Amino acid sequence: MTGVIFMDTLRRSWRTVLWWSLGVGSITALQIVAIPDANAIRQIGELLESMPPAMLQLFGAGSDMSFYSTPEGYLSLQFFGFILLVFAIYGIFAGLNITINEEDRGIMDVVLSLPTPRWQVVVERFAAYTVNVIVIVLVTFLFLWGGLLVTPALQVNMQRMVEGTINIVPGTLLTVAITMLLGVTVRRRGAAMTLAFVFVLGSYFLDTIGRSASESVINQVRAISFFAYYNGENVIKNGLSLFDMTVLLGATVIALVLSVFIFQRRDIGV
Amino acid sequence: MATTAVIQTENLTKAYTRGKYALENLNLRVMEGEIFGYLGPNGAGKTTTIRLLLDLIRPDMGHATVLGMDAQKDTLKIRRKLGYLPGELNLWDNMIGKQVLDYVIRVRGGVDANYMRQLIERLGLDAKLKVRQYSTGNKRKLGLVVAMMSKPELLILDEPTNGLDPLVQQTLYQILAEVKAEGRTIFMSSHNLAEVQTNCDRVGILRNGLLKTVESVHQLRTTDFQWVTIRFRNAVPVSHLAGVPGVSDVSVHDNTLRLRLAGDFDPLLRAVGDQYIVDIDTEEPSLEEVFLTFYGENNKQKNIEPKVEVAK
Repeated sequence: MTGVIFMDTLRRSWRTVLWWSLGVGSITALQIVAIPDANAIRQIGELLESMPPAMLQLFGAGSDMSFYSTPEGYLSLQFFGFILLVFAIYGIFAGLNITINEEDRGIMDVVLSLPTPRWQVVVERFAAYTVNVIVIVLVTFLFLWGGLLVTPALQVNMQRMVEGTINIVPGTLLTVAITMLLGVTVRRRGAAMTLAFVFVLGSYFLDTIGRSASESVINQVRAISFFAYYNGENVIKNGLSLFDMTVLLGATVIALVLSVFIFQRRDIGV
Repeated sequence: MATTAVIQTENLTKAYTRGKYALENLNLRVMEGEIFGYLGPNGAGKTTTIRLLLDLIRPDMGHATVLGMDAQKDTLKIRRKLGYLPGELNLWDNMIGKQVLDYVIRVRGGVDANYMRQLIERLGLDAKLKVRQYSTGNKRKLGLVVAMMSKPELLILDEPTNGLDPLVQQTLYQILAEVKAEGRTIFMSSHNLAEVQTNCDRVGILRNGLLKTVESVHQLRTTDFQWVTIRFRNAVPVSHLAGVPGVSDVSVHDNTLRLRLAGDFDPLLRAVGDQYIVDIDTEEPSLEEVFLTFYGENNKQKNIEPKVEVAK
């Protein structure tokens, strides 16, 4: 029956969503309330300007150091710069839950002995985890907003904060989809998880190293890293990039379609 | 017996590694309303057959129909009418038994709640425990309720009594008999010969991916050989038995001769005919002996020189 797997996945994952929301939300709020005032941010910005740019870029900083003296710049580096990495970890665990965890434990035999098409298992679970990601992102934003409310010294452009938060969703969904694709392809949980971490960390370092080495080949290869299309700092500066979001969501849809295609055709649990 | 085949396979073949067949050219017909026992040791191909019928794995060659429908193309329609208990039942550890049942009800729809409650009660399942708290037997009970609660036309049970205590086994046998009485079909794999002997109408014996034979349980026990006990008035004429066709496993105790006889009685009676025979008794082999005959490296049905064992 349509929607049963979707609802069941939501029902079974709400506790995890709650803990992730509280965890990521707390990190977010702490990043903000730990800053006493705008003056402190200016001082941090000046300190950053004195550091070697290449080193800062390894931690996700762009080339415009004066930007980090502003509250938006501070948040783009201290929060939006790394938060996708945190969400990607959730994405990996969610992606594993779509097929490979149950297949690895032999539960998939029971699931697929019921009148449920294989594509429905993949699509409905992916849809449920999409909702979960949106919920965690939403709660994260609420903590961000709450943190800003209790820190009146930090005056930021709220629209940019909303856009920066929305920008987390496509990259996280891509991680879910890629992990799911790895699960249906390699058929072993451990291998799929390892490859997913290699994908996320490899993408992160490819992007940061590529950015700091503007003249090298790595800078051109950087385009294959999904972090290159996340670019949190740019979103805080200039707003959401339709192109970047389309690339990430397009890749997500391709991974989803491929997962359905492969899962539909192959043996289960072999 | 009904003439409609509920399960039919034609040259069904599956190889997991190149050249090593898990199942080879399986041609099988399971008829409507029967309990069909699928016997074989671990690795014989029983579970592979079941997973092919459920479209969990795809054949390399051949074709299967279940309930008159193509096992691959019509798998969803088939699964609506089928209940399945896997050999190794794994479920969601964090869910309680009732949640598992509710999930199945939501996916299946149209489950008879009364019948489900009856099954829970009769099998003695505590549906309030988490799956991780269940013993192997209790997990099996939950799996049986999941498989049977929708009153499916076809029940596929892979080693259904694994881990069940003898009392629950008896209850299950009773339930299976009721299912059969309702005209529904049961396909059960097992390596428990007594279980098959008690419950099944026909048996298929599988070895190394090959179907060795399909027989009625009765026929299987009578066609091959029998144990013969002859009581003589005087000493047993052991020397007369040398070279008698079909005689093997000869043992002597006082004036009593016990042997295994394959084929006709006549050569044996002629061989000992000059002695006064007090009594002759014949005994069908147990299914286990038949099973071992199929599986044994040395085929004991061959006419071999009798080896005499004399009890002291």
